Amino acid sequence: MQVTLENVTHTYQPGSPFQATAIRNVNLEIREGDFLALIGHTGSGKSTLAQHINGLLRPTEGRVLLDGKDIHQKGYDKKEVRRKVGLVFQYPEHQLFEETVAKDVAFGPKNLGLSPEEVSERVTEALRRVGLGDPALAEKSPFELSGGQMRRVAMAGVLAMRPQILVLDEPAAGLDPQSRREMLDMISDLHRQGTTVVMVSHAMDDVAHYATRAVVMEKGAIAMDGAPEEIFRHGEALEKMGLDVPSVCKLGMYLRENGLPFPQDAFREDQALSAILTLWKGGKRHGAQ
Amino acid sequence: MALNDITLGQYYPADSAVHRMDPRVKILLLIALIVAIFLAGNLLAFVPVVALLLAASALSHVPIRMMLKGVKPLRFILVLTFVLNVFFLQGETVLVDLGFAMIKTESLITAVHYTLRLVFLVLASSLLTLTTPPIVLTDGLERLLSPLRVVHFPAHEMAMMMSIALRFIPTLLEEADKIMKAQTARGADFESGNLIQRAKAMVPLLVPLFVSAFRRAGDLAMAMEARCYHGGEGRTRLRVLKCGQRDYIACVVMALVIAAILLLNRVC
Ligand SMILES: Nc1ncnc2c1ncn2[C@@H]1O[C@H](COP(=O)(O)OP(=O)(O)OP(=O)(O)O)[C@@H](O)[C@H]1O
Ligand SMILES: [Mg+2]
Repeated sequence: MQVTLENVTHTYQPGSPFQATAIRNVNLEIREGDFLALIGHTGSGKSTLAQHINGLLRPTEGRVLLDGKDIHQKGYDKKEVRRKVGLVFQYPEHQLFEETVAKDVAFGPKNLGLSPEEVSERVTEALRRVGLGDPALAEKSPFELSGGQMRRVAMAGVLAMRPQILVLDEPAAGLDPQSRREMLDMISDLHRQGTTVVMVSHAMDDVAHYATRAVVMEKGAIAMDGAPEEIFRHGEALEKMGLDVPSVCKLGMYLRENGLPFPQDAFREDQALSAILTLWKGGKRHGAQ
Repeated sequence: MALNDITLGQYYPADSAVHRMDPRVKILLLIALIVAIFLAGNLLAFVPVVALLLAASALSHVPIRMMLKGVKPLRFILVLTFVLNVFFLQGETVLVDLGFAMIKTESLITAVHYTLRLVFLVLASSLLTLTTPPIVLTDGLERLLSPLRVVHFPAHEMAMMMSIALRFIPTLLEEADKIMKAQTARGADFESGNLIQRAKAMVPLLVPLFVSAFRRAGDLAMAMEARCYHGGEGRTRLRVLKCGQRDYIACVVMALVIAAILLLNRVC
């Protein structure tokens, strides 16, 4: 399962005075097993790009290939794309509509034409996954829940379709620290169990922590693409684009400025720990001499 | 998705004399122009109207193509008007005999006249909405209607409601577009099926849309109250409307157009 974007350009409202080219000439290959973090300044075209991956937006120019086949070709079954690629929108809690949580989560699987038993099994599983396993909750109206719980229900609605590629547009935005961690850990679990993940995020610490690959967008084009350690080595370039670096990198910069040999490529807490331990041991030896 | 094509409150931003005119004058002139279009008794009398529309289009930098866009949704009505008039009006001179029906010269001319009249009416009103931001338009309307307060007509409330509605149409459209996409991503199908299936398919779109509209309405009311809004009483305005030279010139031009039409009515 692999998605390839070939020279994709998207222009909103072409021909009107409000026309805006959101992404330009994007080439991107999403490989099986990726945990791809899509980062970029507000308005850089991340959401637009995300919506091309499951064919919701049609490229103005260029092609989107799923396993080598153009998904916008005549005769290509769009349902196939929807089944394989799940998309969770920014603030997905605004899409809930059913009387009960369970019914809402069942909407996607039902649209896939699954049997009622299969649907209900998937609903239970998806709700359990997002931490809403309580059967009493499943019968509540989604509008009675808190914002964070609504977010999880919406998430479950997509997970219940069991996509092989999961695209998430800022899934943790606006959540409290604990829900945020739970959300990200759950996504990480899915990734470990074989789901390819594409996640739009502004939080560099999350990218450092979870992603295996980072793609940086600037003004509608891909500015960098590589492993997080490579991307975060270009801290200055990121800052010029209005982006951040993980807090460990910031700590490293500060320590280096003050003459301590903190390694350039440490960007995760565990790496920071070993670097600090090395420094500390070295320091003690100095002190002993 | 298809929702992008809807151009409501179809303001065409540009910096021109027509755009800068006082909205009250523009509204009154539109009414005058509509009257003028109805006054025109023959095809020749449309010439000043066409001249005025062309001049306004050139002066306002709004391409004729944009103005004609407003005519497109009315094409069925236009065709119907034309066909009905061609076949059912009385006339003397037979132009074509189709066997089952006859086309008379007089009815053909009248049909063209009526159809053109509709087209010009639409073009004239588009000219107003294309060159005036909706908010300014409601402002002008409020000022024009405010004398009616004496008979307890709620001019300010009406205008406030209209401007809020106008302000939120694009927001709601955007929201609808987003929800539609989100449900499509979950496999919803808005495009195929029979009428009942399609109506049912709208539920996942409409429920979230209404929920969010109510939430927004509540938030907005709260925000307005927090900023001490209490109706139109004693409220001053940000944009003070003022008639200028260009408004007077426009009025004179309109008077000339009407005079020309009346004259042409006599001549033919
Ligand atoms: N429906 C639309 N119509 C017109 N222009 C749009 C539309 N959606 C997005 N745009 C424009 O396209 C550009 C990219 O938008 P996009 O939503 O992809 O950015 P983003 O990177 O997701 O930003 P954010 O971080 O704020 O979510 C922006 O300049 C935006 O104004
Ligand atoms: Mg976005």
